[in-house]
Amino acid sequence: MSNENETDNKQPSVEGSETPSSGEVEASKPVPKKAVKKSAEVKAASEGSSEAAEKPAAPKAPPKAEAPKEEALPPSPGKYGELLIANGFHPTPLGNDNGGLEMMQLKPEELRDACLILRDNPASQFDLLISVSGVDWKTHLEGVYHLYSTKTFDKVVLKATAVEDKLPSVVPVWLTADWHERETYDLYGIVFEGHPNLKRILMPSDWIGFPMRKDYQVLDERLVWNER
Amino acid sequence: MATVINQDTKGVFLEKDIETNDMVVNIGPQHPSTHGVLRLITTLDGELVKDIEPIIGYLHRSKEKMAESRSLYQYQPTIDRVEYLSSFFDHYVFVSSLEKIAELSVPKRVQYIRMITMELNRITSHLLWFGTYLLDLGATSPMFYAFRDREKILKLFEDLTGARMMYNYYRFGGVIADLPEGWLDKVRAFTEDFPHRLDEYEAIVTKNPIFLDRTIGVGYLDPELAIQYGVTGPTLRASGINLDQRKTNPYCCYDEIEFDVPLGKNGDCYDRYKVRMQEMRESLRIIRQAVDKIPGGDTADLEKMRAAGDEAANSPDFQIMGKKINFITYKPPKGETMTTVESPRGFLGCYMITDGTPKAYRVKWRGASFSNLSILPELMNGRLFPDLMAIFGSIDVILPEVDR
Repeated sequence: MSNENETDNKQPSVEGSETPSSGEVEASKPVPKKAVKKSAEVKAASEGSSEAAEKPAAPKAPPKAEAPKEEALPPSPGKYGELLIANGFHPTPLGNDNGGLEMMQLKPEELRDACLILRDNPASQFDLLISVSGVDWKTHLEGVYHLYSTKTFDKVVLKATAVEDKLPSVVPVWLTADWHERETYDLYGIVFEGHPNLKRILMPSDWIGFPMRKDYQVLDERLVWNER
Repeated sequence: MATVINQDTKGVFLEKDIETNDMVVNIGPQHPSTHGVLRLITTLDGELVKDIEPIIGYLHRSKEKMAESRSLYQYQPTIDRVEYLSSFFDHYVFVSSLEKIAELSVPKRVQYIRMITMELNRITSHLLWFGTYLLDLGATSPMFYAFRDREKILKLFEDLTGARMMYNYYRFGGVIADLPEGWLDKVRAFTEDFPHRLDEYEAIVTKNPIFLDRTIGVGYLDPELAIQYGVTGPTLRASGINLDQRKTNPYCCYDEIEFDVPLGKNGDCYDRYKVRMQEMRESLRIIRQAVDKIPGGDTADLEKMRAAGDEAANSPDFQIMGKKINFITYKPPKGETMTTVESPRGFLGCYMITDGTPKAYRVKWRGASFSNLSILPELMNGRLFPDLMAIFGSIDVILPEVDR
């Protein structure tokens, strides 16, 4: 069925004088009857007015619109999400990741206190911070915290969206965060407020820009061999 | 060192007012015993270290950025260099993360092959640590012994993968090729021979009075402080914390294998040495059991089973690839996960986000050395300067893994 759509794709802004010619090209090819019928319709429509020529584009819309319908129900809070809710926090549950770990979104202003609860509460005891990772979602930056418990051997994932590229530092909770947050600042430019020594760690101290951001561009031509 | 002597108003020298200035000594980036390119800014008060600041990043090769400009399959050969002494672990976390996202099944034979190779790799890594650590302390000969035996394992890896260090052997859902014929026998022969070599090492080192003087009571690591700093692996276990992901969060088939987790008591350099030596023996135990338990056994036996028309030989457990996929055009579904394993240095993790394209949206490496190195200022606080190399060597830091 795509024949007529293809012609439409090639000439998105069809003018009345050009469409008949495209229709002739269609008709001259050995095409199935159905396609010929449709191309004839296109011809007729385009002769009427230029606005009508855009009509055949309409059938293309439904497959695009179907995609968002597949969304599942909003995930319910897991074990540690409920623990935080019981302590007066407002985490947004994000379901489980592909490894089966519970994920939740925290408000930046609640992050540090929620981490303290998760570290000290006997039900969670997340005393080891595995890593702090930054993620650039193009619209916003995100900090991802993977926690581990050396008592219960469980893991949990916390996420927090940076507001104006700022997040509270969790160094008072885990000293591991010292270097990990410096790395995230270095590569993503997320400023961790309250960090004792926030400076570049992997890149040279005079580096300009934050290299892991998606919109980062290498200005030095000698360095772009990688993208060839 | 400059000294300033103060006088009071009557011109009498006041002894208690004598001040000494701290001396700042820069070590590195190119220092032979830093095991890589690491710069340490030390503040000394006489022989005592008052403060030490590690400067890292000299080996930063932007491994995480590289993942965003290549397809996952193109990126895979480059991840050997994240931690080059135990590349199988790098590959395992990377491949395993994607297997979780794409829900690829992994045959049991592959799990066992991965387990054997990873444990052999742990031995090579500990052997290299053993050699270079003794070199740090001034003993040259143990290094030659250690490299002699490391070479035997590297030869096994060369038979298996064609490479001595950069293996690139695992694939999504399997391994690239089955074991060479007779390879398991070679591994078995190695596990028979190696305990005697370990006894030799222990005979010349473990009771050596110079070695004991340099290590016992040096570099005490408080277990709670270690967890605060995210220190993992043998360095943490030497302080008495029983945390080994092979036991606590079993991956591969470690739950089917019997082994012990060696623990230290005092948390000093000597305990860290003992734990690593004991870990090599435990790794041998794991390898011995895995070689006996591997489904299908040696490739020659497996071929015989197939030739005899045995149905079991064609079951999923006996394959080397779970699902045949075209790696070059493979598009993993959307998803994210983090896999952590117990590498020779601690928690090695790979956090992966995919967005439905052949490239990964984000790959984050969590190196064990990165967190382990951050405890160095605490360990060196108030210690003697000559102990620096003894302490730094004992936490077994690999700089390429720190900088990635």
